[in-house]
Amino acid sequence: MSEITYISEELVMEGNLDAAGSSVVVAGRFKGELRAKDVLLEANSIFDGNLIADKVTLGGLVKGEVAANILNVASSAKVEGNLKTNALSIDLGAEVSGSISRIS
Amino acid sequence: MLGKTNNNETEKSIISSDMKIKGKISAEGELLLLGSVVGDIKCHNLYVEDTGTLKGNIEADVVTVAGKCDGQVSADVVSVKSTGKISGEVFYENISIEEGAIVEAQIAKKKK
Amino acid sequence: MANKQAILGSGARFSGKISNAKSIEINGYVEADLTTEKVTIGSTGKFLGSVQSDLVVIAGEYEGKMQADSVWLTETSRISGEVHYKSLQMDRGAALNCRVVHNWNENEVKLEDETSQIQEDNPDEKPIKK
Repeated sequence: MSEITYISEELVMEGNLDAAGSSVVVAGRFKGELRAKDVLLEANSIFDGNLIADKVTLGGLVKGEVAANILNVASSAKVEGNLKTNALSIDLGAEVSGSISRIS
Repeated sequence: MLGKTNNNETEKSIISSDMKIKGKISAEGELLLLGSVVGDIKCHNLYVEDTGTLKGNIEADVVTVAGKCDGQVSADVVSVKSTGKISGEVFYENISIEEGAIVEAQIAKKKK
Repeated sequence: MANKQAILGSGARFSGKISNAKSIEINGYVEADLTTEKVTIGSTGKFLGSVQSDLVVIAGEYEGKMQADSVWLTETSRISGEVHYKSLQMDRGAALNCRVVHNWNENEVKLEDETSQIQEDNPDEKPIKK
């Protein structure tokens, strides 16, 4: 089983990350495209770009597009953009502005 | 009226599952929607139960959706249950969406 | 969760820029320029690009220009490009197809610029970053 990819708090990554089949945890900053199986954007993380994964939990600042089969927006999240998912949950306290739609 | 306290916010009305209403509804209290409404609703608390359907705009303090809503929702607290289905627009101060809910909407936090 | 080491997992592929890194372990495929304090390229890791680091450990593949203080190339490492180092440990089995440059000249020049105090008191002073 592939190991986890962990973008630590101080790390700033900009570009294209393809971790298909494995998990990614972002505690720092990521700008660009991110593809993975499971993704967790932690409370202090900053994400700007496109996120495509099987299962996603948004916990920090998110700007851009997120497409996932299962998507949870945690109460610490501030999301600006488009969310595409077939299983959505938004915890009370989360700030989301943008469009929410299903993956047809 | 004599002796009546002005506590209209606790008044509760029920639109039962066999009812079909076309028109604007405005209430000061709670509204439980089990039937079908085509038109706008303005009230304090709105519960769209799982048999309830609403096609129109909602303006309320608290909106709980376990049924179907199609239109614009503007509320302080919006809570979409797992059986809920929302399409249109949602303007909220606080929002929660349970897994299982179907949402196809533009949502945004109200800016006061 | 603070101060946990950054890791690019073995299944991950990244191309772009990595900045503000402290300690990073690369087990996947990375095409980037990296400035960090410590980097480990694991046996499944492949790194293409420039690396500037205090400490470098390579057990996988590296291609590019590396500038480091302390470098350790293990028996499974495969290096091509350039390695500029202050101290180097190479295990038997390491495959080098690169230019290897020792930076001791730069070190001496730097020491002359410092006050003579430092030179006398701490001959093993931590090398100055460029």
